[in-house]
Amino acid sequence: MRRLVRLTFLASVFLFIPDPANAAEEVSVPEILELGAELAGEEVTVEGELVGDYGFRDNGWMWTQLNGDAYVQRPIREGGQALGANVGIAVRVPVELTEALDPPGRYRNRGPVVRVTGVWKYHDSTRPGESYLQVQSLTVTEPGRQLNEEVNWTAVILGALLLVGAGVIALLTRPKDWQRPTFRC
Amino acid sequence: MLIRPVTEDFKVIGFYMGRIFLVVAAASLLPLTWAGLARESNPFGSFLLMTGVFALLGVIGVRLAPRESELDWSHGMVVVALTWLIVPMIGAIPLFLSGHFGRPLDALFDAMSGLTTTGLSLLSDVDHVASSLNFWRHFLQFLGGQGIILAALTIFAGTGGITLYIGEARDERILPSVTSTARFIWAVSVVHLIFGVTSLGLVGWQVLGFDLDRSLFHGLMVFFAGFDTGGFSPQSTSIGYYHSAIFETVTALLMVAGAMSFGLHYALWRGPRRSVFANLETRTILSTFGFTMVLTILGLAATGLFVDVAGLTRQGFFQVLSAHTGTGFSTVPPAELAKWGGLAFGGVAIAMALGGMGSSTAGGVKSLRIGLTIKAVVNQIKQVLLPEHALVGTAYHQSGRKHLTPALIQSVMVISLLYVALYLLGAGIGMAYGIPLQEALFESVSASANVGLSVGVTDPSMPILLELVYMLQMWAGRLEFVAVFSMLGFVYAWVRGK
Amino acid sequence: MTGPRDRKWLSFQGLAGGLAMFAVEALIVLGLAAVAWLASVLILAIL
Repeated sequence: MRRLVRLTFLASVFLFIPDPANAAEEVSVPEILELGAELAGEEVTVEGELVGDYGFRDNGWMWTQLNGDAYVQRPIREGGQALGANVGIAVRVPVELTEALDPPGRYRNRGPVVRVTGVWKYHDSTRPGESYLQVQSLTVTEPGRQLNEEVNWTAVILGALLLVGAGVIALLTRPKDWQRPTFRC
Repeated sequence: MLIRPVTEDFKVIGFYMGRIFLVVAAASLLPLTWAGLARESNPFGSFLLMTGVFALLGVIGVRLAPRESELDWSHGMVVVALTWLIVPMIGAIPLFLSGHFGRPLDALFDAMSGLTTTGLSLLSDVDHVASSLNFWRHFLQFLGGQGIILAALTIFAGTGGITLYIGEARDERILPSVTSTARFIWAVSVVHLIFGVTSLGLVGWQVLGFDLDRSLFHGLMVFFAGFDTGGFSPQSTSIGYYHSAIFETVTALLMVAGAMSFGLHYALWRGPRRSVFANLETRTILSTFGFTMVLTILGLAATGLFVDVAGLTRQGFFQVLSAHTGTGFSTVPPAELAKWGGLAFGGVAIAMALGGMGSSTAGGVKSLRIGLTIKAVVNQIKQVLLPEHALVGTAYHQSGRKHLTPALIQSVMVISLLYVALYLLGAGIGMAYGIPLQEALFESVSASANVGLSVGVTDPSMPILLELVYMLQMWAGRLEFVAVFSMLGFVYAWVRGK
Repeated sequence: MTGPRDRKWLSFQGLAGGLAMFAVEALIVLGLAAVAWLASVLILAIL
């Protein structure tokens, strides 16, 4: 009987041990930027689009930027509205987690949307004054994809016409030598 | 009695503006070519349109030439003021057509901010903007920092050159002719371009681990914005994007180079070099750099935002340098900068307001005016303290020995007061919209002194009137008022003259 | 350019001058950084 009680007690203890993967606080990029100091040293999970460049440094880390703004789901190239500046944080990812990552977001490219968990380093003393997320785990939730680009034929035709027009006016109204103006200052 | 301008006056103005537009049209071929090579079809069409508009206006302008006329002072000033209004209007075409702006006024704001080397931006989603468009934004800062007029003066010989040169807020004649001076300025810029792009590109490639082409891209963009103290950046997190003290150091060198007067560059290059540190302007700016840096670091330490020496040094140094040189690069996000209250805010705001050296790419009141003002005040105090008939020396060193005359003091005071009035105007209008004093003043000083640091007031949702006021501040601040007032006087004479 | 003396740009004197220009700029940056560092050390020590 005592053995049964002991086993039941041990089993119930395990039920209450938190799953390490769920210990991280779920936050958004704007929240990290707003609460920077309060979240210093905390483990957080955040989702967003990787943009810019993948900077593979010698020390086994890759640096890039994680954006958590409206353009992640509604890029401007796909009819999204111009809603202001990007909202992003720096992420420092172990190189081994970056295998097979799609190219980062740029023009005509929506970068991979990833879910990362890591420690938020605020004004890190080991990297004087810098703030960034030191990533421990990374999952791709949406792969990167190409964005369409439409040619603005109106602008092309109008521009060409204006250039031709300028050339024609220049040729037709070219002054003869005796007509050249003189200027004094 | 006001004399109304006649048709000949408009023809003269149109002729010179036409020449300048042709130069800008030629410059527009660069982003057009970039878009073509990068196969960015959408921007390509926009740049073609922009180039066409500049070319057509240019040709029409030069064909207006009257048979005989003189480019006098007022003509020159009007040319400068109008050029700096119209070039951003046309230069905004590719920006607006990109879809990254909600309304045309926002695109014009960015074009004006680029050309005046301010750096405040209403661009949405810069992280996904076309590389050719990013190049155009940054190239606008290069063009504006060097001076559009200067660009034109290197090509066409200087009839009217000196008027145009001075109208663009340059008063240093480094070489005997304005054209030679213009070419020297370009030579210094090209040398720094080679150095800057190579150094930043190498750091990006070898230290930061970027691809080589991207390293060079970042290097070129940061050079344009750094040397011309503009402050645009190819990514949304400004210089903070690079997370590299080495990158920041090279950038700092470019910012210092940009904030130095070209006369100083000349003295350093050709000699005499000792005179550099004897100059009132050099001593003033080094002193104000030191003062504002200490003030800011004290403020940051007091608020506990940075608690270690290295972090405090690095962030305080870079932000104050960025503010004082009028660049506007940032290593901290706007939301965090807004939290730099107290002395830190004071230090950065004062640094922005004071500005760089005269005849440089920087904005603000300028260190020569600050130095002369301090000297005038000290002299005044001496005169009061010393016996009535005592003589107080009025000499100062600025590329040679000069004297502080009443006329010079008056001119310095007037321009300085106009800057202060501009700072307060923008702050007042911001406060009228409910923006707190600290933020309203910061953003107003940033716009007027062509710095570009932002605490978040500059946003696509900002009121239109405030947006227009900031644009006016950027324009007037860059041209140091004289050309602006001349143009207003010209318009007034046209309306009310006889 | 104003004449033959401007060809000195590409000469040794021109190069030396250009390097002197960069050296002074670097000196200014390092000097200001030193001021910032000193200020940080002293202020943190006092506070």
